[in-house]
Amino acid sequence: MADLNWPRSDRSDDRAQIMLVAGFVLAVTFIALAVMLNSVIYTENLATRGEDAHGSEAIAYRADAVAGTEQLIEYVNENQTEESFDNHVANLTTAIDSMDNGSAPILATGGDRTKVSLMSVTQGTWIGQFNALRDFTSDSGAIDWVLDNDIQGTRSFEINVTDSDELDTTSPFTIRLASVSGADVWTVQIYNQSGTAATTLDVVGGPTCDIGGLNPEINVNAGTVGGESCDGYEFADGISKPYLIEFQNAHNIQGNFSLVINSTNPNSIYYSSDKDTPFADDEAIYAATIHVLHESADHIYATDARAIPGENDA
Amino acid sequence: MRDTGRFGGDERGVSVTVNYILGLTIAFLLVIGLFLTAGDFVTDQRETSIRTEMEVLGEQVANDITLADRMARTTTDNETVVVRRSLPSRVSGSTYTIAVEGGDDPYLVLTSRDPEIEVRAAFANQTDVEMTRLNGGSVQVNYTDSGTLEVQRGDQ
Repeated sequence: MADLNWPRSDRSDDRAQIMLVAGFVLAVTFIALAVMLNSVIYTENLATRGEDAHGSEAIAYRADAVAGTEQLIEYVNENQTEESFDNHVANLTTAIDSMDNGSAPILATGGDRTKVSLMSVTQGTWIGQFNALRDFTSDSGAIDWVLDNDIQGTRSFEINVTDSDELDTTSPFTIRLASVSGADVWTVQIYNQSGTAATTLDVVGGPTCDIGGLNPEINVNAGTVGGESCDGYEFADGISKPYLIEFQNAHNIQGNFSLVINSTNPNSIYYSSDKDTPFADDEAIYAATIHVLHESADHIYATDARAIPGENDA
Repeated sequence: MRDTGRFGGDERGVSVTVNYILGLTIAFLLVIGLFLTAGDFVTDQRETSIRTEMEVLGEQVANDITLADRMARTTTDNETVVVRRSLPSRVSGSTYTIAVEGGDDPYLVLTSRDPEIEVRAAFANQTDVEMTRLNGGSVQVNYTDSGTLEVQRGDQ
């Protein structure tokens, strides 16, 4: 009888081939799974990385550059009063370049390339008076007088009341803005109601605020008295440009005032060159336009920006 | 002849061939069962991973659009706004597309080719966003001359 059993010694090595192949295929399958899960982990890792493109920093840089330029404009206006507008612009250009040269290397260490450059400058007039003992009448003594009647904008309008006793309730000191081409009028009165240790900021047809204590510093642009804000106050609300600014009852207030207007036509009969009485420096800088660049490997941000110190105080 | 019980030790009628086929069949059944289970598992996991990856990528692009929108809103003249991002060209081995859809209320749609899976990502914007579609990979969000945001390929 033939032997139906294969000789064990010859075939034993061929056994379990299927298992071997199956095991191999399964191993490959699970390796593929591992690789895939790895890519998921990588992607989720990407998701946890910060805000990436330095976009917020770019926006903050723009704001910083504008704030810095505003400071430089104020400095140039207030400390170089005897110079011409062209010299002011040259000084501002130099100062902005210095600011840029100072900040760019610091930001470069974080991988950002930055540049600030001056594009254009708007000429204006700095009007003011620095005399703690004088009222706000014109140099010639007029109690109602127009500071300028062709104004395209007003900024940094500040009053420092040095003696609240001079404020009057019945005929209060009034700042009146009126459109040249229309009937728009915006008026604010400043007085002190007797018996109160506050200064009243009274917008005709608008809010009235008793705030800030006595002898305060008043920011007319922002509507703050001694740092306290007046709710609902909006400077030059509803006034179309150009407009005029007039002081009324200027004998009923005492102290310093300062403003910069976007106009170069102050009425010279009301001014002197002495800062003890109202003066007008029409070689001043009203505003400047700068170009800001903030760039890194993952973003480019460039824009013009307008620097108008004190116009948007709030 | 040995006597080990009624059938004990009796191998008549059970050929080696039958024995072998029985063994093979059982082994095949087991292996095929294992393949099917493992295959389904891998397929499920792949789809899940593609979806997860595309959700992440979609959120990143949406974040870039939001960022570019914020930057664009602070610009005035002579403006340039570009936000770049390096993304993988494939998700779990599958190519994919990135599209901006939805007209006035846009959103991102990421679609993988094989298997076809669609994922959406919302973003908030005030600047209009152009409707575009591009293959996955590095992208950039540009602020165009016409005052809109556009998602473009990263090498443009």
